[in-house]
Amino acid sequence: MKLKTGTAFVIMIVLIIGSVLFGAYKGWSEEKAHVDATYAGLESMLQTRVETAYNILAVAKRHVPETDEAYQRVSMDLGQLDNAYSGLDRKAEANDALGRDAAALLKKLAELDSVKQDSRDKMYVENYLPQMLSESEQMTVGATYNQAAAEFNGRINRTFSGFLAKLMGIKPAEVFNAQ
Amino acid sequence: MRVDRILALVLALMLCIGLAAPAFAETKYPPRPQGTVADLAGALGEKTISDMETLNTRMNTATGGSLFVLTRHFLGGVNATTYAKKVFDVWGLGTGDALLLMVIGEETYALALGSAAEKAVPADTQISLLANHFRTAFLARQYDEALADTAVQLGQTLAKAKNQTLDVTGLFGQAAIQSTPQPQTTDDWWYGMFARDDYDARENDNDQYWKSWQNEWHSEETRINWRSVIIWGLVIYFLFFRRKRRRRG
Repeated sequence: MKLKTGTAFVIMIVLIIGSVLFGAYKGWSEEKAHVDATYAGLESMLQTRVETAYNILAVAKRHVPETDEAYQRVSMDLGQLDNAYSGLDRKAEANDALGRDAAALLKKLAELDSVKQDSRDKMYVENYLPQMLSESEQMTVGATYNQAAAEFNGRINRTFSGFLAKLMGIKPAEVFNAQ
Repeated sequence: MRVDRILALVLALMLCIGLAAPAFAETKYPPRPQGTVADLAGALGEKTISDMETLNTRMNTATGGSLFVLTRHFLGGVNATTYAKKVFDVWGLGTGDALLLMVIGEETYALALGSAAEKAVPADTQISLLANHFRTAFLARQYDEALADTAVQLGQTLAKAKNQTLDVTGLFGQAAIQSTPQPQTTDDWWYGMFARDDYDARENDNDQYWKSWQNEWHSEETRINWRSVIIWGLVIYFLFFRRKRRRRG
């Protein structure tokens, strides 16, 4: 059977478009998978934030009631951050809030007479816990996932193959906006 | 063909393992100490630690087991009993051994025993032993006293179960009472604070993996460009120039 030139040309164009779309989808899926693989690292770092919050609350409940507003705020941030079903955007919000709320709670604790008179808890409130808070924050900000997601999104948004991949259903990586 | 398939399967498996590695990285626990005491919280006096080593030598002769001690500032929300059992396993302690975990900042503690030691000191005996000899002193921040009393009682109970006697003469007589642990300014401060020790989180953040993939990206980009140019060149050649050459011919 002999194909007409026009038909052959159309088939060829369809095949080329199909292969380009398939290539874009396959390539960007693979790159997205690599970004996702770095997510475990971010989770580990968020876990240090969770631990920090638990430790702050462990000391705080010896000096303030659990109904205390500053205590409650940290407790809520912790609940959000430690919830496996929270999305990354919610966790990012909770993480930022934890930084502020935990610092406020530590400041409040440092001003209490019961803490001032307790050399052990004074040590925790003034030295160890702020250090934990600060280190865990720095680690979270510096997580590889943040860099990987930002680079992936930059690339998929500025390339033609990225545009095609998005048409084929590849979504930009979720960004963790740690401040 | 078959070789290709096997190779593809091997590569797929390697990729799966590589991708899964960061997710399954193990949480690390503090390493087993040289002796029997890992005082990560700096809550125990030197004399107490030294006496614990002597007691354990004698206890080991009498019962075949030892009492290990781990102090930490916090556990970051991890249950003390669960943590103690995990450390017991990770340290590879024997059936006749015991591990006492003291969490200073959380004011919690836990005792984990090997199977043989647990037969000699059943759960209800453990509870009463801790209640009578450990809890009050521990909560009063007399950590040396709490440990000394508990270690002697536990050692003697274990020895008695084996029809042995445990000689405790000369031990813990002048234990320095340390009411509060002093702040540690060493680089290891992290060790007693986070439950994930050994900078586990940093290790989990697989930076190298990401960097190597970034390099691949760039080389792949270049390769794709050259490949595209060649393919498109061939398509154009076959579509236009080849036909023109035929007509000329």
